Amino acid sequence: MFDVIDVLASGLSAARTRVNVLAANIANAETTRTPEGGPYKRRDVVQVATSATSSFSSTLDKMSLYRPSIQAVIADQSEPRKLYQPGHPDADEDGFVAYPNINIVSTMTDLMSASRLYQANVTALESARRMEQEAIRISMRF
Amino acid sequence: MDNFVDRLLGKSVTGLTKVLDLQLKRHEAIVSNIANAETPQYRAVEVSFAGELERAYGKSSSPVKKTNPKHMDLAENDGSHLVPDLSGATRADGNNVDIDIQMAKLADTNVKYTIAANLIRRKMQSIRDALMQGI
Repeated sequence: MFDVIDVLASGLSAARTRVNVLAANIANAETTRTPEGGPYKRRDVVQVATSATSSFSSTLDKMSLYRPSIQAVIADQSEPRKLYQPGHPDADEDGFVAYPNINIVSTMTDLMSASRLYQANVTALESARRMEQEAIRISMRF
Repeated sequence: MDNFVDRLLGKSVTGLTKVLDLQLKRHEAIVSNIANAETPQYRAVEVSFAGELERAYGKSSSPVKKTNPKHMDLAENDGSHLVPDLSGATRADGNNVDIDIQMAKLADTNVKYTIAANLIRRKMQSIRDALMQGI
């Protein structure tokens, strides 16, 4: 039962990281200048599943439990979007301004699915807690 | 210990205890699927139930036979094992968790666990009632 709560906590944390990264992408969709130079680069999360059990015997016993974790947040390396805006302070010599490669619509749908996933993890956590309470109530009456 | 519980409470409680164990295992698999619903390449799993309860009541033996005494005893285990859950379609990222199906399964496990726990409590209560009659 504690393993379950552990896995769900990792799920919540992964979903929250996802929401944070997507929110940063939306907020910076039009950012043309960053401290490291050039336009803002879209961030993507790399999420992996690792076994939540460590020792061999417990692995045999509970093979089902996989803990999600965010391995890295990587910056998009694709070419920036170029818009012709000659008067812009960040325009190059040809009058083009580099904008981050961010599609607001797809980022918004990703954000919605990430926040739904967070809710799903909360629901699962509540159900784990309810089951635990049911188990405790068995012994309380006798 | 099992034998003692059998004699004191009857076989129904032993069976219900197995139901609790199996539902808890199912719950673990479902939780793993929900937590990894967006993890690329993750494959959904579920607990196989075929014949589990018959085995719990001792009506049938484990399908795994030991051919060498040094083999690990799988019959000691309650016989539940993990199988791939093929209820959802595989998406472009290699993940095949269908979050709606998993949430429905979660609710189902929860209800069954609660029912079994309540039945055990009723049984305990009736034994207590019987014990208290003479007082």
